[in-house]
Amino acid sequence: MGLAPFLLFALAFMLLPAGAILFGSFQDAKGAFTFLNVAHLFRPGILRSYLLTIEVSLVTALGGAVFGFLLAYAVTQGGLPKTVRGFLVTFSGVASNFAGVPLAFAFISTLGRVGLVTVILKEAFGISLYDAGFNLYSFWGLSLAYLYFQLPLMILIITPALDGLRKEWREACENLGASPLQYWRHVALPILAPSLLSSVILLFGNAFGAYATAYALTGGFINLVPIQIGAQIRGDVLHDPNLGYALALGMVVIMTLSILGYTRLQKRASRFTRS
Amino acid sequence: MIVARNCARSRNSAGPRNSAGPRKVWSWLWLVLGSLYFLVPLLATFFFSLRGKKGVLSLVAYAHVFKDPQFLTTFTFSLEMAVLTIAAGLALIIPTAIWVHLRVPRARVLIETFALLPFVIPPIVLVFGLIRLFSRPPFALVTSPALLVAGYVVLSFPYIFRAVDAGLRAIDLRVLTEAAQSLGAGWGTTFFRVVLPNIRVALLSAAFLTFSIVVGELTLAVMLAWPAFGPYMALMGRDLAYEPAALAIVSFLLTWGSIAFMQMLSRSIAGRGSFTGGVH
Amino acid sequence: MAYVELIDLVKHFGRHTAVDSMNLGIMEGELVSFLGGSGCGKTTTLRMIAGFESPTSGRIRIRDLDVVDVPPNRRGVGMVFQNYALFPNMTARQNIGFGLKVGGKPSAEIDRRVNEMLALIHMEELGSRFPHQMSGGQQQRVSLARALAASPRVLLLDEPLSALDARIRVLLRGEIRAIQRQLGITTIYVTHDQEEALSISDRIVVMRDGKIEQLGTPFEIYNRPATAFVASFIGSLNLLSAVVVEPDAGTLAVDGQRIAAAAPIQGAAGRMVRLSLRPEMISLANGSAGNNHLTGTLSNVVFLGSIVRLVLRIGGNELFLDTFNNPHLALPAIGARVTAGFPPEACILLE
Repeated sequence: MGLAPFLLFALAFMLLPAGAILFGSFQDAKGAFTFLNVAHLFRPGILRSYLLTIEVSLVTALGGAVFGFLLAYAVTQGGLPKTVRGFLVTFSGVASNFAGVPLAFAFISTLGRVGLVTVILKEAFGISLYDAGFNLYSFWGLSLAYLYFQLPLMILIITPALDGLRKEWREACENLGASPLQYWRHVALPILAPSLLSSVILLFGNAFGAYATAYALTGGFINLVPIQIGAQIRGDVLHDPNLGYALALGMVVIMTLSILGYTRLQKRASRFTRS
Repeated sequence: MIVARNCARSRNSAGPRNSAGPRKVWSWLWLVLGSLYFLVPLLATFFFSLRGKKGVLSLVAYAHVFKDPQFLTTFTFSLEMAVLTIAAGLALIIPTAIWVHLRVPRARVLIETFALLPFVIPPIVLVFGLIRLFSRPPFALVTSPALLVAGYVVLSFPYIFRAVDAGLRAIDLRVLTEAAQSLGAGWGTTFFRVVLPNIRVALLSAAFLTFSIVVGELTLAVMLAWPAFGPYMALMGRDLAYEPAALAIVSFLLTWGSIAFMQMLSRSIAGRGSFTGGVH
Repeated sequence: MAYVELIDLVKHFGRHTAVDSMNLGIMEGELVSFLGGSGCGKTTTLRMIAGFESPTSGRIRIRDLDVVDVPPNRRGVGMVFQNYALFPNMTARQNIGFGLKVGGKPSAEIDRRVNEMLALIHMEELGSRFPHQMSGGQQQRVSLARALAASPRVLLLDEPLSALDARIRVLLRGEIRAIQRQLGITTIYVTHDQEEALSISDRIVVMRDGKIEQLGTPFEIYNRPATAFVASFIGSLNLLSAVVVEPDAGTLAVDGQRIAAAAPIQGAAGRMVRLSLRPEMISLANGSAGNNHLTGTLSNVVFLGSIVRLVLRIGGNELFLDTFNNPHLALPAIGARVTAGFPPEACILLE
């Protein structure tokens, strides 16, 4: 079968490594079967790590979804010139890739302790961000940085769905006497709901698995699950790779749930655009 | 009943009425806010990078970066990795995509499921698994760059597949190959003289996207301890102040260049998927 | 008094004039078709009546009230779209009842009205289906019911049948006309299909380049076309070059053969005119007194099912005549000399 090379490749470099993680999480240092690693996932420190990662992912997923939707709506149906849309889509394609180290540097240059915006706010407006409690290297700073690739991702995903919102539906609504609010409430939002929801889930997963940006921004000093895993790999902490595997397993479980939710909702969304 | 005909007030309209006016205001508002959010960090980084010399705007930070031998070696290394990834990825995925199109359409679901794996198994988890699997003989690949390339192929595979797939769909592969065969062409000729030239644009898109993913990649490179561009940038960020900003600008221009180029190319392919994400 | 009135209606899109000073009065209960090719302005005019486009200048009055400044969601006009535009997230019932729902009517009344509508379109059993579970014809019927549910004053249809296949189209246009007659609702029907317009309209407005070419009943439009455009747009038509022989007697010559028109012709002798003849007015001549005769060579016989079309070459002209299919009748062979006959009234002279 001509698919053999690919299947071998997928097996060797996707399935087996995943399997290695799976098995590793249920083994102890000597290779015997144990549930201990998984049990340790519920230690307060680890639990807090998952909670924090979930919080960051949720905040950036919702924030990215809302603002991304507004921007995408503005360029598709909002009456703006067509060229703006092309530009935004191209830029989103770039920005959704502009993550990791360069992004971290960009935000440090902007909102770090001596970042340009921090300095301008202090010298021109007398507002001291850091005295007010803001810290780029913490939850809100990281979320702000994550938004930089979450927003474009949302724009890229939701634009086709918005294109599927036919002009005639809005006109039919108007013709039947509905106000714009009624149009949104009864027609547009119900039709868009599966796409919106699935996008939030995708964004959530996207943020949950992110490593490079967090690492480059905080130097590894933030208690996120990917960072923890990275620390385990490099032996930075109490070298307990099996715990690391369990952490990775937990992450994969969460990501799998995300992708299942996403695909199910996408199928529902396509039902509306088909008719 | 005839009504007065000369009191027609001239109304200048541009199309749909009613809610279009206030809608436009909101649209411009969000566009402006969005643009600010995206442009301010870029501008700030740029200005930061010009601050290498005290009190003056200068390109000193860029000079430091370009003169650093480490910059050249790590960048070249990542470039090589990118080229290898593109070659290996295309060599693996083009035949696969063609096979799925022509012979086993049902396998498409399987392949697309695999395309979701890099999302379900993020780079940090993938590298963990790769290390565990390949650290011991007989498969001690951990010290070989082949493993890094393999990892990069895994990461870029969804995008390469979607690009090639879109390209094949756009040229209606089945019909084209049947036409070639009815004219007497063998498989080799068909592949090299009919299929490949017609998906050139898709291949270029895939290549550019892979390039941008690999060159700035951090997770795999740092965990597998390779002297790549990503880890080099991270290292710079630890000690220096303005050079990292210069690096960020350089990296952004590179990414922008390749992605923008790729999007221009891919606009000529009908029905392409969206090339989103990347590694973070 | 006209129920719907368009007064000096003009629409510019940038430098392009879509509708050029249209004046029209539509009576209550009438079904008027806007007929024309693409780009003639028929859909634009309809959309202006619906309120989706604002006229550049001119007035639109419905029941003597000026509606140009009234937003589309308050005009009391029902619109049926070309691709149905049913809300995909709602069932047929919910679609039909939507106008009443946003109008704040009590649900008992909405239910009653929806049932009425479903009965009207003969889809009582299919109320809980979603659009993607319905055929094209069914969706269009639901679309019609939705537009009628809120008892609009005027019904607008924008090429409602062009997305359906031929058989369903013929069926549905009859149903639409029957419902329209039953309810007595003033209706404007936009189409590019002249057979559709001819079969269901009280009057037809033939449009071209934003202007009205001719306004009249189907009979008038077909049998007395005012311009060459209308003549060639509606039905099939023969166009022959003829020379005026005696203007006062109304005599012409085609390829040297003399024929008589039913009325005197304007202008001088020797002038070239275009003579148009409907193919069904021509028959294989058998000396009926007073008929015109033209002799030519039979160049083709086209079998169209119920009609057989004979194509004659007369000098530099081509003439085709339609005759009903009769399997027992022997037709002349190709290449034979054949004579066609037609009454003087069949002559339509165009410049």
